[in-house]
Amino acid sequence: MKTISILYRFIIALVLWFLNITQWFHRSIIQFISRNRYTITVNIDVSRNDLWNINNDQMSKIQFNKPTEVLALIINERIPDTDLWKFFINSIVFFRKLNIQHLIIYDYEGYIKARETLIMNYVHEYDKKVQSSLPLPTIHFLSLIDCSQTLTKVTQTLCQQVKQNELNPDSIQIETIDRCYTKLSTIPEINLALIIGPIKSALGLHPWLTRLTEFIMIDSYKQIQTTNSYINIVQRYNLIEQRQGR
Amino acid sequence: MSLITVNNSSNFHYTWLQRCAGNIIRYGCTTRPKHIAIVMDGNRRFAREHNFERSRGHTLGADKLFDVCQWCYDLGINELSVYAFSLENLKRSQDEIDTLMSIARLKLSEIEKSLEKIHEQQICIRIIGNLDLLPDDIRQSSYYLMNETDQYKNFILNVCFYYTSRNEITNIIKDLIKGYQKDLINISDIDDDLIMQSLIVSTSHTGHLPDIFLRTSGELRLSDFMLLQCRFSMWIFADVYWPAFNIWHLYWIILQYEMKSKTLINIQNQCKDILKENQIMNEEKTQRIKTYLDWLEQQRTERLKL
Repeated sequence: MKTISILYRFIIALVLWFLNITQWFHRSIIQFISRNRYTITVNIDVSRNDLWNINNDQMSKIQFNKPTEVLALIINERIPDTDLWKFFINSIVFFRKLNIQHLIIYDYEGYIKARETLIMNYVHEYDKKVQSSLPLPTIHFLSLIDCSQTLTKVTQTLCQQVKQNELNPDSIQIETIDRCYTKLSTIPEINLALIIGPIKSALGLHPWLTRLTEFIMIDSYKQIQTTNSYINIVQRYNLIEQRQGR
Repeated sequence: MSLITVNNSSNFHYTWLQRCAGNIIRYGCTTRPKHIAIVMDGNRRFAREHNFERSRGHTLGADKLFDVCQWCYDLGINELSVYAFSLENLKRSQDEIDTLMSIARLKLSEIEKSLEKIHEQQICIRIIGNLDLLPDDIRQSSYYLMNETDQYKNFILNVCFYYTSRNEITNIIKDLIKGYQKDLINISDIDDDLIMQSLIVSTSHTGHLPDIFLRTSGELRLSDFMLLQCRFSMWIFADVYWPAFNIWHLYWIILQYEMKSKTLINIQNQCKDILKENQIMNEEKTQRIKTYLDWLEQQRTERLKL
């Protein structure tokens, strides 16, 4: 039995090795294709080294086809500092043009939240450079600690209201919790979330607000470096139909 | 050996290739998932594609659930949570709701007929949701089944019926407030850990949260299913309608879990450490929490006996 168990483990290890190799190959192909797409479709006056490479002509053609005010970027990989600013500025500039009201940037560790001031400085610099008059969405830099404490605060707030006879516990409904949660988190329900990185999970981003969120999985931030890739995301999202129970 | 006798089939049948692959996965994978949560989506679209009536799609979907239970049991996965009917589905036509309730009645009566086997196999069946909204006969059958099988832990099937995660979380919060009113807990005792432990009392017999969240039909939403329980699970969105889900899809999902489990478990441990950093524990608090959770468990058991 022990020999058979070892043999089975060896077979599984072999299968997983093969899958890992093909996944690596698949990722390399995607990166190669993305690089090629970059050099073919970006306007000639936007250089490869320029921080901001959003193509304004392509942008005017793209819109969300359903109300989408809250968007989350869930970063499940370590983005090097040299790429971090460029990635977030591209994302903020792109989604701002689509009238996003709230943009959430979430990573469970909080390493991006720690760089919030620097990222926002870059964004303001960009706005000065291009003299942009478009309003910025409310940008929320969140980590696991922020999201995990909200439901606790909601419960404690309601406990205090019950203690002060401001609220009857039997009258508490989903809407009561929802109002309190939205007030404490300052974020409405999330419409669209991009999970960027190898782990396909929101890893604790405001579970209460993600009940109807559409999740789009992207293997790496390196796959969304061009206007086309952002446009592809919006087009993918536009194809989705929400039945809401029906 | 078949788990539950359904559709008069006394022996579950695998092909030799399925059996071989199943054994390799069961005894070869070092980190098999112990608990899978499934949104069984795509019955109506499956029926439409095959020119069946909608009710046939739902019946095939219900049959598929029992097949998947058997496959999971044979692979050593001992807990399954499934999303059978959402409170949001009450927006559907009365005709469709009646069809779904008829299928539920049929399956419950089939399970009741197999009760001897269920006792033999030590299977626990739990119906989780807003059971007060269930039709009387289905509610009575559900309570009966849950009372009969509550003590078993060999294989656990959690059927989420008339359920939404927000409704579940709201009830947990109401229980916490009642506990606070009864002086079982202090306001400062309420934290993320207590909320999760309260959830586990109502939704997981083994105390093990889902390792995998699986949704069929290609939709990329959670649709208000186990939002807190699955926040650190591996999410797999399978592009196959539920009635067409077969054993090879399950094998593939387990292989994917095996591939990513090391990274995922590292991240889950990091998340647990991050959450623990903010926790303040002392002996008195631990005792209060224990008293509260015992009271919660007692409430749940008393509700079953009604």
